[in-house]
Amino acid sequence: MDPQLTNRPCHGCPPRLNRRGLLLGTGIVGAAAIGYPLVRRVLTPPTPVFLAKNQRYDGPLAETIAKGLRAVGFDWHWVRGRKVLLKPNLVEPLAAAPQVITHPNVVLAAADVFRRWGAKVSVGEAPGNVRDTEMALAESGMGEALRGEKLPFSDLNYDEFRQTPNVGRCSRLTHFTFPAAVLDADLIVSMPKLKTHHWIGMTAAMKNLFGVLPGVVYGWPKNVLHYAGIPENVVDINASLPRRIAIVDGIVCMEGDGPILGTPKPLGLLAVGLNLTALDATLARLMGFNPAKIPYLAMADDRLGPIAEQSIVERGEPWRELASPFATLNEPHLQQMRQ
Amino acid sequence: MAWRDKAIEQLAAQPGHGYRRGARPMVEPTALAAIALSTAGRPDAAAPALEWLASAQSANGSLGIDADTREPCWPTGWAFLAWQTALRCGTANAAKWSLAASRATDWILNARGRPVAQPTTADEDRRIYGHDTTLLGWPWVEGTHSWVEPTAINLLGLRSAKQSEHARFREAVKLLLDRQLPDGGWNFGNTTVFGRVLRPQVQSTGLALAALGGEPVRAKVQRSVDWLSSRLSARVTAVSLSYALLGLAAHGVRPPDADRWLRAAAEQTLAGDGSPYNLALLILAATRPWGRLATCLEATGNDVAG
Repeated sequence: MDPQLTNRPCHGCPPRLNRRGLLLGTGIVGAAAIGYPLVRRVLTPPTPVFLAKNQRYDGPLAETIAKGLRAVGFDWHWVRGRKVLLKPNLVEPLAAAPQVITHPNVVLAAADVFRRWGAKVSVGEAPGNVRDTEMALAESGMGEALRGEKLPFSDLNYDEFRQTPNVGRCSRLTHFTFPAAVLDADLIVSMPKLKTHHWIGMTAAMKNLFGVLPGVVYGWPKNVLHYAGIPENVVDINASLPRRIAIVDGIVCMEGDGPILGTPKPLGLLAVGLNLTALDATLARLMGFNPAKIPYLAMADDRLGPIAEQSIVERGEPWRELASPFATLNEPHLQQMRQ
Repeated sequence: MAWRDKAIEQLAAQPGHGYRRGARPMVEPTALAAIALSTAGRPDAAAPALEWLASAQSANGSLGIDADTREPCWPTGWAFLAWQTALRCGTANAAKWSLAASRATDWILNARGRPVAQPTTADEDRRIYGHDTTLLGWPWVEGTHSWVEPTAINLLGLRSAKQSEHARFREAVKLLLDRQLPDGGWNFGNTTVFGRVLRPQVQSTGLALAALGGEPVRAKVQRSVDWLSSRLSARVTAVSLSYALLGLAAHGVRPPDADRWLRAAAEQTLAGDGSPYNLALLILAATRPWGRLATCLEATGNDVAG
């Protein structure tokens, strides 16, 4: 389901070559460097992403999600009896600002779909800016929603954890500490709110997975990742986690000063993808960004998935029909991402 | 208060505590349990938790998040406060806790936050981050920036050890005041980013106010006291409620509905996952004199008659 995941060095990272490798490789690397990506793209079938328009929080979201998952080739028989962890974004909930977080109804709809397919579903999150997770669940309405459907919640900030190697190695971090609930899941479903982000341009399926790292280890905010590089760690976390797919809440998005203080942007969008890089690249275009200028997508390109439009096949609605540029802060580093 | 007795007995039943009942012991909930038991007049029950903390202390005086995970070391401040509280409230093992606390002090006074990840000029830092990035406090994780809550935790411990004139203490007080939001309250530690004011949070505000108890800053923090008072209701969950009441008490404020809110939060916790972390904080917030976490360790005259 994630065939693009490899252990090749990150874009921008120093190559790890020994002397023999350097001597042998010098003559062929140039040609291979030019030819391999081209050949790879020609031989690799395009990666599907699914976009649905005119969605509402009180609409038949489960039907849309099931349709989207089938459209992108999700093998629904595979999930029977398996552990599925839904990971919404509850970074800093405030009842008066629902554009900050994933809407509970989208989470309930996804849970409904996976339960109908026989999966053991739970929900987990490690809110990044607030230590009182119980308060985050109350303020967001997520706690009440989950109780109503008897969906178990894992507080990823405080639960049991284990160390695993950093497979991506874009940043200097050698290991990640992930909650056991994350590492033991057969499938992680990233369920972000589609938002602008005042540091890295946008936050969607890939960046949302920052929120699986426990605060007790990484802090509130997860400042360790800031020092080691936000884009680098977006790629590294995604490269190091078990199997991942994404269902994106783009029904009421956030533009402007995201990811916390931005304003609502109603879009009516629900997006589904098995490859988070391809999905985020498509959403970036829809938001008015150039995916190649979003640093984490540029690093992930052709490594965790494709960002080139010709390497992505659209199911459902074409992104151009939904395109609606998102306002951002007038900061140079953000404006560059539009070019 | 029946819930308080029940909660104390639950905490007294074992030496180490996790964030949830039955979870593996962690330093922060164990230290808070020890503080709660000491202040509740149960030094006998606090002793096993204090012993557990001492066994988790590294040679350099720090404590990690649990007995096996030696970094990050932000919970050191809580363990330090636990030993200090035992010493002030009376304990049979004063020499042992005094030594452990002394080693923790050394580590705390040497630990420090770093400048921001991408520093620019002072003016540009202020424009982007909204605060003086050069002020020293304490980070969550070694090698990262100073944030409000770890700074507040260490201030509580240092005040209890009569270190409030130490240069690190004085600078950390400045840091907390610098990170106070323009309309009152604190969050994790950013006031504005790119010129936009961030939102305050109940827990961070309560802890910051608790840490500033005993400082002559009432006029400077009045807007935060007001904001926090206005936010409290039966909807506020156990941990945030407890920190809020501790913070307000440190400045002489006790909402009239406090006991009712605490009872409801405690009953919900006891009926739910029985979190020792929640219970310890609720006990502290319910123990007279109010605001013991912040004020009993050094008389400030702020105690409110119950």
